[in-house]
Order: sequence, then structure tokens, then C-alpha cells
Amino acid sequence: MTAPRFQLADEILRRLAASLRSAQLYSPGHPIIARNLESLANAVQLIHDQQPAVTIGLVGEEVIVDDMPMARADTFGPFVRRLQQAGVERIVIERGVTIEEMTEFIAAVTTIDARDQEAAGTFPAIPHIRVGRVTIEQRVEGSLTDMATIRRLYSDAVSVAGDVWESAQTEGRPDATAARSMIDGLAQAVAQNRTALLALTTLKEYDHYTFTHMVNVSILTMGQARGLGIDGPLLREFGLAALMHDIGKVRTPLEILNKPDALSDDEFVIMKRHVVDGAEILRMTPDVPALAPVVAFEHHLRVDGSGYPSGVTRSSLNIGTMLCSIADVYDAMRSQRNYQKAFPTDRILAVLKRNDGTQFDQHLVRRFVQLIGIYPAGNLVRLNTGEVAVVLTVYAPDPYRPHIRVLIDREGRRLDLPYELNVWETSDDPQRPSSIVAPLDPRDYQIDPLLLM
Amino acid sequence: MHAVVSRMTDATISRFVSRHVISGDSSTDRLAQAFQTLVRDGEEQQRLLALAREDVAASPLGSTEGFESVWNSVAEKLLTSYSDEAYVSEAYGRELSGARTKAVEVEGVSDDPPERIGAWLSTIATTALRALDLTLMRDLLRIEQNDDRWRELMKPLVGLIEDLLLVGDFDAASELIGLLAAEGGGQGPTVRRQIALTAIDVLIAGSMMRHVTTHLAAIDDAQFERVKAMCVSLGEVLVRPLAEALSVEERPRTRERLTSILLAFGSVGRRTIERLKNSQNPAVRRTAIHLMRQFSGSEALPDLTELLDDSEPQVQREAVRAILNIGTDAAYRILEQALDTGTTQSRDAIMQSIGLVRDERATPLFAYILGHIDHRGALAPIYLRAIESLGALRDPGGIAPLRTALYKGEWWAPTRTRALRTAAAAALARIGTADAEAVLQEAVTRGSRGVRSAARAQLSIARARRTARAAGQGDA
Repeated sequence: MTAPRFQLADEILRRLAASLRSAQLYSPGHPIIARNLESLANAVQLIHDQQPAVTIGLVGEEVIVDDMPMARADTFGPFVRRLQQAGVERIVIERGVTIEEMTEFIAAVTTIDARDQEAAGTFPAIPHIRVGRVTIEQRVEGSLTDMATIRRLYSDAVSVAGDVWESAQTEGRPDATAARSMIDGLAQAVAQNRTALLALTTLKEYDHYTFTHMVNVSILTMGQARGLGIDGPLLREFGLAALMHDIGKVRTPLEILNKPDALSDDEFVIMKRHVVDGAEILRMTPDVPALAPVVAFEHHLRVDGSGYPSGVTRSSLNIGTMLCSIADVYDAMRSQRNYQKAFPTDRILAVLKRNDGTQFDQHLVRRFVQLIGIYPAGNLVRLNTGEVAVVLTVYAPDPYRPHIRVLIDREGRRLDLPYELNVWETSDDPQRPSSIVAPLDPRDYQIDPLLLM
Repeated sequence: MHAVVSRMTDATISRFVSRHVISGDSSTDRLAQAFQTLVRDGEEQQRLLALAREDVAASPLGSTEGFESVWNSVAEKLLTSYSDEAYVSEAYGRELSGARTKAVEVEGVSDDPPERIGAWLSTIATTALRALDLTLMRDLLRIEQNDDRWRELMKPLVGLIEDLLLVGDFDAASELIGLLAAEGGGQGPTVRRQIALTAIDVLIAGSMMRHVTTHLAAIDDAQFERVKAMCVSLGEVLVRPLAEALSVEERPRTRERLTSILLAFGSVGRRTIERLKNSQNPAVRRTAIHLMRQFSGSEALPDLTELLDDSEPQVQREAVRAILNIGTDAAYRILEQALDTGTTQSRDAIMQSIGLVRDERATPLFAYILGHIDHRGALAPIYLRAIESLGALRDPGGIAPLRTALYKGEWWAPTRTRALRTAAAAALARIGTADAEAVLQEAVTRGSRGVRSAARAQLSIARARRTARAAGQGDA
């Protein structure tokens, strides 16, 4: 091993790390990305003057260039992790490689999603850059069209949320790996069967408010994000950020956190600290996406400048924070807390809408209403004809009139053959249900609506 | 479900069964399933069915013919239709799922224009996210009042700065470093100051300089000035790693910029010279000389003297130039001594270096050589080259020493003497001023035969040149 060759190899690694990191930190077309790629091309050119190809291998924690073990992987930590996440374990850059090819390679590593099987197969073929890949795959067992699978997924997620909370409490850092793995499953479900998953968030019975709230906010945030066309790794970042939005409360004294009555001013000051604590905890946790601490810090800030932490101003809020805030308010009010009776869904939505244009982005609230509906999927409802039905899916253009399954006729008899109906469709038949008049408590009817969806 | 069932009384369940049997409007299968769900225990089932039978018997159905037969059939069904199958069968579930997928997709009916959605998404584009992270870090540093928590923030802060330096985002890195430096050097609480200074140490001990040097050659001048200011803001602690980076740096532009940063530290940068002077890399040793010229003045003479013996001629030449730049008698003595005692190679290197100096700074040195070294013996060639150099410089300051040289020589060494006088006369002619001509005229008039001969030939050349120069000026 000659010193110059080692230096050249080290130079390539540094340039590669800088190029990849800049592509992660800056939007395409940013001059910093171009500058780093140019430097990378120069460094590669220097080594190609000596040899026809250079091979970079990632073996566990080690980075090897040709036959030379380089600096420990932690020196290039994020770079190596990203490559490993993308399933890349070996890169061969051959003489003749162009800056365009390197640009394409960096873009592919930055955007590829190894956990997405389809994307894994689409790693581009680049003439002078060969990539040895491993597949990292984590799939939810069972069909996501099956309510039992979704239900198990949800209940497992709540359990993992408990573990994540506990690790944050005892070790000062949430278990990001467990959280990621759980979010992967939820994100798949949100993408494939959002209705069923959203229906689960309407459950009023749960074992633990905090963990259920974490999972619900995550699902509700991902549901909204999905509606904006967000998918893949970014969707999971939204889910993870939302899951952790209240993680700072692990530092809130229990007597305040669990206080059944309204908080005093002093107690409220302490409670409000959870946004700063959450941001700090998440900012210090490796492998947590940058969005997570930002959302934890900002989720009580409102677009009109109100909210907390006090003294913090934002000219505008990012979409992650806004979606999580809506989900948070919705779920906190929906959930029956010790000091707060459960609100009917329509009242919650009325509260969200009351602040249209001031505290929440009115367009996003409208989208949220379209997503959740005034009567969310899984709700048991009474129709204007007196029949009882379960809401199957929300009809976005008219959140008051969903797609339903009628279970009980107007005389209160359970139907042997329930039938489905689009409430939004108009008809001249006066016997046909045309609206919903009230949400019902399934316990009064000895019905588990989710089983009937 | 268990919670629901546990609240139901025996009477409720038995009435539930009897009502359905009496009305006869729901299927027995469905009733059986419901009954099995509500009552799991066999004895309980028997007991509740007995209660239900009493209800039904009391109803009009009870008085009809065949009641016993109907009831037994129902009871048998209710007691024996137990199944593990879920209430919603798999096939039924699949059918329901199919119906769900047919439902209208929310995103399909969005009426938000693409620009609005684009604007939302742009708030979490990678560059925007990086800016959010930066803002968050600034806010946390400002808001956090607890010193321990503030200390904990240093790790992600240093990590963030390293990240920004890795990719060459010096503007953002400068901002955060500015915050640290302000806290470290400010008037705030001592604890905070110490935390900030420790963080700066950690930053500098890490990969900061490696990242900075990676980008130095590529950034523009304006950005470089910001990098320089950023480095200086960190204080003297950066000087050592800066010198270390410089001592192994091969790229000329990067070296030049590292040197410029080092110079910005002022006299503190002087401490780095020792390290650079001993670098394996000749280019870095040249940088050391450059720094000596910038920082030290005559104090650098001992260090420069060492480098006159450098194995690399380029380094020797730089050292000579630096000594010439100092320009004191002590400096010239060092060169004279080097010429006197050095190897042939070092003498050549020194003379070559001196010869390359094309300004009048060198005149005193050549005058010094003519005045102090022997024109005979080993140094005779150097003496001659000093004469030639004075002629080449055309500095009137060279006239006096050249006059002295013109009159030197020995009768027993006619060839050497002729060469010496010819060279001195030629140099005077090249200077070509009236004073130089006067010296030649004087030599022609009053000199010895050899001196006259040398001066005469050059005097006519000098006059011809002066005439030509005057004509040229006249034409102009």
C-alpha cells in the first residue's frame, strides 16, 4: 500500500460522502451538490490515472477501498449507513465514468428505498458504476386486506410504541430501530388499506392512552400525507415524526402528565416544556430523520403564530408539522382522557374548522375532513330512515355521506344479509336512506363494527 | 366484546333468544352464532335456554301446536352449532375488502391545485428540511436554560457543523460556529462558556480541518473569506490543526489558502513554523519560509539559515529570497557564510537564487559580495557572477562596487584579471548612466594598461547605447 494511493482512496471516500450527504441535505440543482460531484469526479479521475477501476466495499463497520481498509465506518457514518440502507455493499467505479453517471448514482442511492421491493429492482444500470446489492426486506405477514391482520398490526404497533416510550424514559433515547420497523408496517398498511387502519384509530377502548395516541397520530398523519401523494421513505419519515411528536413527555413529571384535573399555570409551563425536550431527545438520537425533532418542537405552534414554545416564531410551518398538529388535536380530543370527556367526531372537526385560516391551514383541514369524514370509517351510525349502519369508506366530496353497510333495519332487527349503500347518491325513493343523523355507541348494539367492515 | 357481554344479565340474554324465536324473522343459524358468542359455558347455555323456553312458552307461540318440536329444534341448533370460525368468515372478509377497494379514493377527488400541493411539499424538500434543522438547533441553543441540557446539545451541534463542513455549506457552518464562538468568548455564564469551549475543542479535534481542506480549492474568493473569518473566530486553538493540515497538503491552491488562513491569525501563526519547517514535503517547507517572511523579519534568520542547506533547490532558493528580503548586514553575512562554507550545490543554488532576483533589493548583497569575498580561488566564479548580476540589475547603486572590482587583478594571473575587468567594465556599460560612463572614462584616462583596455572597449559600447536610447526618446 503506497501512501498516495491510500490518500487518493481516502479522498474518494470523503468526496463520495460529501456528494451523498449534500444530495440528502439539499434539493436537486443546488450548487453545493454540483460542486461536490465535480470534486468527486476529479478525485476519481486521479485514481483512474493509476488503475482502471476502484472498488469500494462495505463490510459490516469497515470500509475497504480495493484491498485497503480505510478509516472506521463511523468517520463516514451517515454515508455508510445510507449505502447499507440502500442495500449497497460494493461499488465498482470504472475508468471512463462520467460526472453524469456519478450524479445518477448519487441520486439513486439517495432516493432508493431498500424496504420497497419494487424500488429495489429499479436501481439504475450505470455503464461505469457497478453496484453489488443486498436486499433488505421487511414485509407485514398476512394480507393487508384482511381486517384481522390490520388489527394485529395496530395492536402490535401500540405495543411497540410502549417500548419506544419506555426506552426514551429509561435510556434517554427512543428505540429508533423498533420504531422504524413498526412504522414500515403501518406505512404499508396506510398505502394499501388506509380505510381499515384509519377505522382502528376511532376505537374508544384502549389500554393506554399515550401509546395509542402515538400510533393514532402517526396513522392519521401518514393518511393525510398519502393523500398529498407522499410515499416511500418520506411517508415513513412523516409516520416516525408523528409517532415521536410527544416523546418529550417522558421528561414531564408523572403527577402533571396524569393529573385528572385541569393544569395550573405553573404546571402548564412545565407541561409545555415537552416540545423542547422532545426536540432535544430526538435530535440526539441517531437514525431519526431530521423531520422528527422539528415536528416535536413545532407541533403546538400554529400558523397564526400562536402556540408554544413561547418566543419561537415561524413565518410559515412545514407540512409535516401541520399534518401532525391536525392529527394530534383530532386524536387528543377524540380520545377519552381523564380530564376530558370524549368528543363526537363532528364536534372535533368543528373545533378544527373553527380555527380555519388562523390556527390550522384551512385547506389541510378540509382535506382532513375529506379523509376522516364527519363519520369516520368504522363508526356505527343511525340513518335518517332509522336504520343502523357501519361506515365503510368516506366519500371525500361529501364527508357527511359515506359509503356504508346497513346492519339493522328500521324496526331494530339485525339483517341476515346486510347491504351496502352510497349515502351520497341521490334517489327518488323516499324509503332509501339519504343522510346520517347521529353516531352511535356500538356497545348499545352489542356490535363490533370493525368486524363488519 | 367481553366487556359488553359481562354487562348483560341472564334475563337480557334469554329475552334476546326468546324474542328472536317468537318473531321468527331471523335465521336460526345466525341466532345460534350469536348465542354461542354471548354464552360460552355449556351449563350456562342450558340454564339460559331454559329461561328462554319459559318466555317463549308464555308467548302465543307457546300455545301453538308443535311448539315443543319447534323449540327442540331451535334449542338443538343453539346448543350444537358452535364453531371456531370467526363471526366474519374469511370469504366474507374478502368480499368486504373488495368492496373497500372500490371506494372512492380521497386523493382522487382533491380539488387543491397542483401549485398549492407543490408549495406544501416544498416546505419539506431536502434543502428546506436542512434549513429547518438549522433553525431548530438555533432555537434550542437559545431557549434551553438548563446547563446540563445545553451541554447535551453540543454533541448534535458539533455533528451538524461537521455535516455542513463535509458538504461545504460554509455559510450555515459559519453561523453555528459563530454561535459557539460567541458563547465561548462572551460575557455569559462561566459554565456555558466552558461548555462552548469544550465543544470547540471537540470540533477541532474531529474531522473539521479535513472537511475544510477538502473544499478550499473549489470555493470562490468571497466564500473563502467567510471560511477564513470562521476559522479565525474559533481562536488560537485552530492554529495547530491548521498547521498540521498545511504540513501534509499537496495541492498548491489549497496550501495557498490554508496559509492565508494561518496568516490571518497574526503572530500566533508564527508558532506553526517549526512544524512546517520540518515537514517531509518540500512544498510545505516552502510554505514555512513564506510564513517566516510574513511574520518574522530578522528573527527568522536562524530558521532560514537551516533551510539554506535544504536538499531541495527550490526550498534553498525560497530561503535565499527570504534572507534577501530581510536585507540587513546580518542577513548578507549569512549568505556570504553560506557561499563560503557551503557545498558546490548549495553555492550554485544560492547564486542562482540571487541571480533570479530582478530588483534592486539584491544590489546591496552583490555589493557586499564584491566587498567581502575573495575574487580569487574557489569563490572566483561567484565573484564574477555578482559582477554580472549588478550589470543586469542596472541599479546605479552597483557603480561603486563595480569600480572597485574594475581595478582588481594581479599581473601573474592575466587571464583571470582580464576576465574580471572585462566583466566589471561590461557591467558598468550595462548600467549605462552618466556616472557609470564617468567611471569608465576615468579608467580609460587614468587606469593601468589592462584597466584602460577593458574600459575603452566598453565605453564606446556604453556611448553608442546612450545615443541610441536618446534617439529613441527623441523619436518618441
